[in-house]
Amino acid sequence: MKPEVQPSLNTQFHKYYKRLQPALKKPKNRATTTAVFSFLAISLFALYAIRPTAQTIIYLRREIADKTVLNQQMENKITALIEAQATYETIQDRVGIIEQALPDNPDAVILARQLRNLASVSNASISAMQIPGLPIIAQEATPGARLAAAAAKPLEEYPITMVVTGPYASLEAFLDGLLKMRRITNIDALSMKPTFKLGSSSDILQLNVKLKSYYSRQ
Amino acid sequence: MNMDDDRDLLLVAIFTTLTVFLWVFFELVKTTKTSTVASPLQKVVSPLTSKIDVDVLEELESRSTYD
Repeated sequence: MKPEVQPSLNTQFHKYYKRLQPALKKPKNRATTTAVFSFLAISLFALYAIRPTAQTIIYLRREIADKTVLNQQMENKITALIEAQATYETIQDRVGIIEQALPDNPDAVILARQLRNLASVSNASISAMQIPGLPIIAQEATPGARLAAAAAKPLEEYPITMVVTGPYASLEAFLDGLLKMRRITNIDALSMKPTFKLGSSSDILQLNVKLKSYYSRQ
Repeated sequence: MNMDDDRDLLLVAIFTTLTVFLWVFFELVKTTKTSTVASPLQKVVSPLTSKIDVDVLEELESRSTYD
């Protein structure tokens, strides 16, 4: 049995070479082929050599510029923090006042007590007070969640509705005291009407006040 | 290979090169425009005002607490 001889590559592709040879002998075809392969070579070179190199160069240049700016910003921030620390130390004993004006928690009981004391000082009396359900400690479980909540809404508010009775002068003093109270409250609406006893009128007035109080979440 | 085939191949090669160069160009533009500083770091270096409004503190201090 005669062994089967594998044709070599040259023999295998010889017919193709033979077919291409006449075409490649024409100068125009040679020029076109050279141009086409040159363009393809340039494309490949641009894609796999120039692009990553240029990208790295541009990225590094951008990084240097960014880091220079960042360094300057950091230095400014450090200076500002040192100044802030110095300023804070000068007013440290008065920081509690801010806490009293705008507490971290609703502190509705403290506010109710202050309003009752104010009414008492003004010779008026609070006959009704309504505060909605509020969290005792208005803080998130984790520091991250707390920061996110504070960033989303730094100031929370809740309404207080109350009825105060007393003579006109007392109610005026009460409202005046309310405006001068350290705990920040905002009068949303108020109405005043006389109270009537059976058969006769009196000088006692009824004041309906709708307040809004605030607390900080930061 | 006739003349039309030659011209077509040349055009394909030219447009391929052009496309590749445009691709590379826009990628480089994107790299130039994109900041290398991470977003959390940008928040950290945001400007800080070190001044405290003392007038507000004095105003609050002058108010009554009724405790």
